[in-house]
Amino acid sequence: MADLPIKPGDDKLAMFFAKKKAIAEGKDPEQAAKEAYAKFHGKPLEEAKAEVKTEIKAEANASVEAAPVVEEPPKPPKTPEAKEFFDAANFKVEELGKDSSGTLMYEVSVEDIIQICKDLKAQRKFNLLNYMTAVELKKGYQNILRLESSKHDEAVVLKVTLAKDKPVMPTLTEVFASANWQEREAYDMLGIVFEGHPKLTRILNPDNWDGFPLRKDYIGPLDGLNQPIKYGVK
Amino acid sequence: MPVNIIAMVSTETATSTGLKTEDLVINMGPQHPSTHGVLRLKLVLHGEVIKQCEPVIGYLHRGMEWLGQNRNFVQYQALVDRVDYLAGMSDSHAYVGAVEQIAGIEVPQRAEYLRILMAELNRICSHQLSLGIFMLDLGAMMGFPFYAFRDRESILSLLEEVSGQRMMFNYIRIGGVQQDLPKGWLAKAEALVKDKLLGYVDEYEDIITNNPIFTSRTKGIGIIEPNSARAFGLTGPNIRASGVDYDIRTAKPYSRYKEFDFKVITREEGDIFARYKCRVEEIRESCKIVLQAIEKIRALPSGEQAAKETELVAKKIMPGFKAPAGETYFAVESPRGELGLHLITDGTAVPYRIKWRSPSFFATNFLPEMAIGQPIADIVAIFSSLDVILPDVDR
Repeated sequence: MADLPIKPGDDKLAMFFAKKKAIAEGKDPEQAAKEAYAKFHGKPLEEAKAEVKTEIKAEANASVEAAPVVEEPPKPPKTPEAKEFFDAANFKVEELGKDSSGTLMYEVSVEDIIQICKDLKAQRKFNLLNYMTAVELKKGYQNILRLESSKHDEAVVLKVTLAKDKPVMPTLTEVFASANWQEREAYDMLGIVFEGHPKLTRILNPDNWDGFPLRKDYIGPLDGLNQPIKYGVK
Repeated sequence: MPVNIIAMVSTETATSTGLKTEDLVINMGPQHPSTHGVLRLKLVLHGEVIKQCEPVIGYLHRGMEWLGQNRNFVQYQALVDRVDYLAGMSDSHAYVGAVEQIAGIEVPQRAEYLRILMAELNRICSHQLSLGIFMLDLGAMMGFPFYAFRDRESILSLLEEVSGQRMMFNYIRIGGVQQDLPKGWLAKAEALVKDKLLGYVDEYEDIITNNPIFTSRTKGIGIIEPNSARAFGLTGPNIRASGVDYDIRTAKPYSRYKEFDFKVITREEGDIFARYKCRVEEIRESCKIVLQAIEKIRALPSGEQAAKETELVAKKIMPGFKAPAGETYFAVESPRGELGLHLITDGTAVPYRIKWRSPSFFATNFLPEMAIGQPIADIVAIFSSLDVILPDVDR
């Protein structure tokens, strides 16, 4: 909606004083206020109000007379950008198909992950790390990264499997700013070590917490306070 | 975009009298009234300027992911509202959407409209609360916060009538919603939105927008530079106030948002004032969506016979419900931004892995970037304007 041409403050003050003066002099206060307004703005009050009304009407008409929606013919399916990249590049990757939301998933090796992320960011449009998480599988710990394009029209999921006895992978903080806390969370919950991380400490659990809670073999403290449980002691 | 940064000086500065100044370390929180929960900020100050800022989180960690992985799909529904307690409907929507996507469950049309209707009402009251506490943090101790809380209560009582709870609704369920609307509810909701809510928003603007104290504390302060903020994963009104047109409701339309006509509010300035203005405008847009949803629900067939013939609300999901093995990511637009759920299932009745992508976590990660170089007096305003909710950070 268009702003009223009446600014708060000065013109209202002028009208107020004009009214006061008119009452003291025995004239019509409303008329005096209108005159004061016209003197202040260079046009009478009715005209200003009428302008606003026509503007509003014009706006309303415009919204009513919106163009009918024309259905575009379906475009031919385009090769996803991630597939193009992995087909062209010379990395050892395994295509895992699509997840239920229709995003392509790829299994990549630990050695290549930094280079792949850098290339996807620089050469292709995947320049945002939407989130990162980790999961424990039978074959090891798996780090899951979801990269998105800056227009959010395409995404790709990268998976890195790490050995159970040595879950170590290089940090992505230099490539993606949002990786910092995500990696700390993955460390806190599943004990994945990110080499080169600026501050790899626990983030959600207390610093002195034992174990990594989202591992499948984790047994939590029964009292919830990270204290050893003493049986038979009063 | 100009960034308002006060030039930093060296650690120790010699003054004319020969005295030296030292850096001061201040612990803000965890029990601080303006931290919206329990957040601790380690601040290093040089005079009044913040040199370092380190958020310490985890005080509200309840292990939402662990809890989900040790309960079945139906049991976990009841806990999901606690992830972000001001937007329980959005939380449920994200969780339920992910499960439905994996299991391939089709949701009845009426239930989809009901979900959108509830989520938008929830968004309105979340924004109202954030406005109220934002003014409280800026020092408006009396007056304004009570307007916002009064208005929020009127919506919460409507939602309570539907779901039985004020905030922990547990209304959106796998396959649909918990139950149909009570009689006369739609008329009540329509009257509330048309006669009151829209007027309330004008009232807020009358009180706040041109207030010189408010504008001098918010205009040109806490400017978010869009590119760096996106790299940090900031979403929602925070990033839209910096001119980035990203709203999941239009970018990746879920549920039936495609059928609704609304505007994505963006502003160019990127300062605290722009974020405030964005939220106020979003309340108006949400009111529009609510009214459209009411119209759409009214147009659907109703009555007992229709309910018997077609499942208007939902098919009942039994506790032994098993989702097929799979993996998905489902995101919704919560009042705070992109709230998503990464779900991995293995064919049993219990989720294998649940990961919440909560918008506040990313916003808190971004806070040091904004705070460093600003005077200490502004950090409360800056943090409050991000509309972070700590249970959403800690999960």
